[in-house]
Amino acid sequence: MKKTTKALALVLSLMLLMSVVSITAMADGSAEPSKLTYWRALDTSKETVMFTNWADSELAKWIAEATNCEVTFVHPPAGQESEKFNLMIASFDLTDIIERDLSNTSNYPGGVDKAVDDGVIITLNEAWDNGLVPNLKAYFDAHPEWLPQLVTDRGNITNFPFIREDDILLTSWGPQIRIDWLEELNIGFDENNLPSTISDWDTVLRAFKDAGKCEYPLLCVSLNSIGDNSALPGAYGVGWEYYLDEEGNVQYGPTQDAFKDFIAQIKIWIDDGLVNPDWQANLNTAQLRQNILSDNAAMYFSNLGGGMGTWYDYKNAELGTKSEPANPEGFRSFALPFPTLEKGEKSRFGGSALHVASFCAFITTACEDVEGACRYMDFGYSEEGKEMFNYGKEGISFNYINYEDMNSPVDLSAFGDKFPRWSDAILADPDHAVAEACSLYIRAHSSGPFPQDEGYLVQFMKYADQLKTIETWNGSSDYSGSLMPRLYFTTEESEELASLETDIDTYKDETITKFLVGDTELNDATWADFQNGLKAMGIEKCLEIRNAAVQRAYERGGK
Amino acid sequence: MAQSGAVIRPPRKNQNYLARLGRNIVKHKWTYMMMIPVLAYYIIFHYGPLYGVQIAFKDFNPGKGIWGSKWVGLKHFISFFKGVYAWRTIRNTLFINIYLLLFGFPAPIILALLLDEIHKPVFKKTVQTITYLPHFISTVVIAGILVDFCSTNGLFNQIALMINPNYTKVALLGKMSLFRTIYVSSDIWQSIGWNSIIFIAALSGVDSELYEAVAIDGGNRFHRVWHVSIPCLLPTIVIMFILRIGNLMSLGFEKIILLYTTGTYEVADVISSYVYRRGLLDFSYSFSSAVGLMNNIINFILVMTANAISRKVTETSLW
Repeated sequence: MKKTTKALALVLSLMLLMSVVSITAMADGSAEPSKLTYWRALDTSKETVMFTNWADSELAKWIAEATNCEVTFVHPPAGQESEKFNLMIASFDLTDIIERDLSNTSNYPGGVDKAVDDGVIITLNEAWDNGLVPNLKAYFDAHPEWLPQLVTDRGNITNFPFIREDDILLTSWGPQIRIDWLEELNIGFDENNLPSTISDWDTVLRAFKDAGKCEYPLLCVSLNSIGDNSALPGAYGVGWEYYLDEEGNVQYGPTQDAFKDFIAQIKIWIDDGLVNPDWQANLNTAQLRQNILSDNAAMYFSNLGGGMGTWYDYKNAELGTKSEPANPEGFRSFALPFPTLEKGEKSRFGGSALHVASFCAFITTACEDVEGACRYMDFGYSEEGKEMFNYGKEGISFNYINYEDMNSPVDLSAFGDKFPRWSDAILADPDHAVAEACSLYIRAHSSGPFPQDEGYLVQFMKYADQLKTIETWNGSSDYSGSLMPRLYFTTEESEELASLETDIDTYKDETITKFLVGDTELNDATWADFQNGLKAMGIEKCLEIRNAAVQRAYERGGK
Repeated sequence: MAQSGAVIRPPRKNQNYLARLGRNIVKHKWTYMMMIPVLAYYIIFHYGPLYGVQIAFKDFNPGKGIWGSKWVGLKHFISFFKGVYAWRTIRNTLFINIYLLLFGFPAPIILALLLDEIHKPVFKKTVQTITYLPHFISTVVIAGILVDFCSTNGLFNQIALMINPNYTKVALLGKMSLFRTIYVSSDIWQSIGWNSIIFIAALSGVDSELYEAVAIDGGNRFHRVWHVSIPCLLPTIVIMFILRIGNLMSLGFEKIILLYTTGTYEVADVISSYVYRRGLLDFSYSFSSAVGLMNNIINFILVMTANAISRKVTETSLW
């Protein structure tokens, strides 16, 4: 009997205890999680290898937990990003948050201010003033010089931007060469004396061809890749399309006389069989990689991580030396300086990014829980969020080590003994390249609503060659002068640009192609025809509109 | 049926159309019910969207909706024709379509006639299956294969090099003179089997006594085809031809934009690819609707004309 009473008392007290616990738990759980929908395109070269929905990644789960949000992601199928986005806008069936750079007028004609007018997105000015985005505001308070890159001509703050925090992150693309072949040629060039002028390029390309290293030494994947980021036309001091000249005015490369010299040089290379003819056929990334890995190219343009790093990973995998962070045997890709005409000069072109690199994510008018959406998006700009986006979670995807243990060309002393080094979960994934494996834990390898940290870049550079690449590219280009500030157009301006520039682009691409393949002979008369054609199509009007927008940007302090 | 009743008992004056229809519906309710899905399909998917055609005359803004957007009259039509490349794209659309008509239209008929002469069922079925398989491959994949085959190190260049060792490799898709050939021949390859099905079906309905009559008259195979098969196919051919004429001004942009390059714009840039670059990528919904509407009106006129001519000349017509 007594035993029963005791047992009963025990059961009752346990029940009481449990109810207390559950009440406390309810109190702790505070608010209901915010339910949000989020549209974004996955990076098809890195992310889709690891998952089909970002919600399945560790990072997405961590962020949701930290911000108390439940997020449903909508991803467009690969290759249909534009169509699906346009369809979403046309049907006005908007998600709460959209991740797409609407400041890029080819993504949204008229840009951000127009999107506000159209009632697609909301401005964050109110949230900014009312403390709904405290971390974003604090971030720009700490970097006031970048604020003009965030605010539009009309004073709208609209987005959660992708920020390249350190200068070193601004250049991640450039010319590369098969340095192992170059050194075999023994023509006076090596790692420490790289071909840096157009005439060096000429010499080296011919030497590659004569030595039979490959049939077509220079690989360009499309017409536009010949002028990508104005790397080659930049040697002649002109841009491939619009750029800022030394006085800070907008110019259009093809209307400059120096552009003709550039075209003439490329034509010589094409005629002499130094350029892979497939530039006419628009190769994709996979075909570029295949050409490079199967020794079909000696010089080409590509990225540091997704290009060079991935090729090395592939080569190492082929050779069975995957886990070693050593340059693979028999294949070495090496950065070339951005070329110039005179030795020792610096190119005015090459780099391509502002610190506020892209307008990443927006809250739409369809969002009912603006506070929740702000909380979710603002997280990336907090110290904790920035670390998570760049490195993941301590103990799982990274560990703190002393910076001196990293073999890095970048000065990491600021990190002291707290350098966040990615763990083997990323670096030693047996089935995936580092660029792929890290997609589960971070987003710094592509872009997103957070500041990218230089410490991330160092992780990525597994190979010694990569370490030298950034120095070469940064050291050879002084591009900030030629880079356009972020421009905003009025509705009338953007309509006019849209109707003029489609034809101008077509005409330019077509005429340059004809010059290059020889369908039209390149001489003073045909060049004058080309110039007149551009004028007849209204290139001067386009320049006028763009110059006015640049002036507004200067007034805003955007550059 | 209903008609015979009407003959016996002429309609009374007070019996209007609706009353008669009502009676007819009651009488044949199952037949009418079976028609509902078809009617619904046309109303929902073909007549309903006609409401949206008005955006061709407006500056459509999704935020304001179709009704709320501003009327701009013929602005978008004028803008299309004022474009430097308007006539070039019209010309290219017509050219490619005429080539498709010249070479692509007879091809399935010839295939059907040839297959009809084969009396080994196994072989016939195999050929049929193989020829219509490409129809099921998506355009993107076909274009991908073509781009690979036509590149400098692709299959076609390799074959040419094997035949003639002095041959210099070229990027075939970058050659202006080859674009239409590649486009049209790949189109024939992809569609020949599928398009031949209707002709094969028509041929299978030909009375075998007609063939026997040819045999009795001492005709050979060629006579059989010429005097029996083709005349029996003619109504089908005419109908298909009229339908084809109705598409003379339209050509999908998918395959074009996957295959064309800056070097081949001159011959490859068609209305739809131009509209794709100008309209879809730039969100000019109204502009693309205007061009689409213009295209359809021209196609409509073409079908009407072809039908009228055919009715006069051959007595076969769509309606």
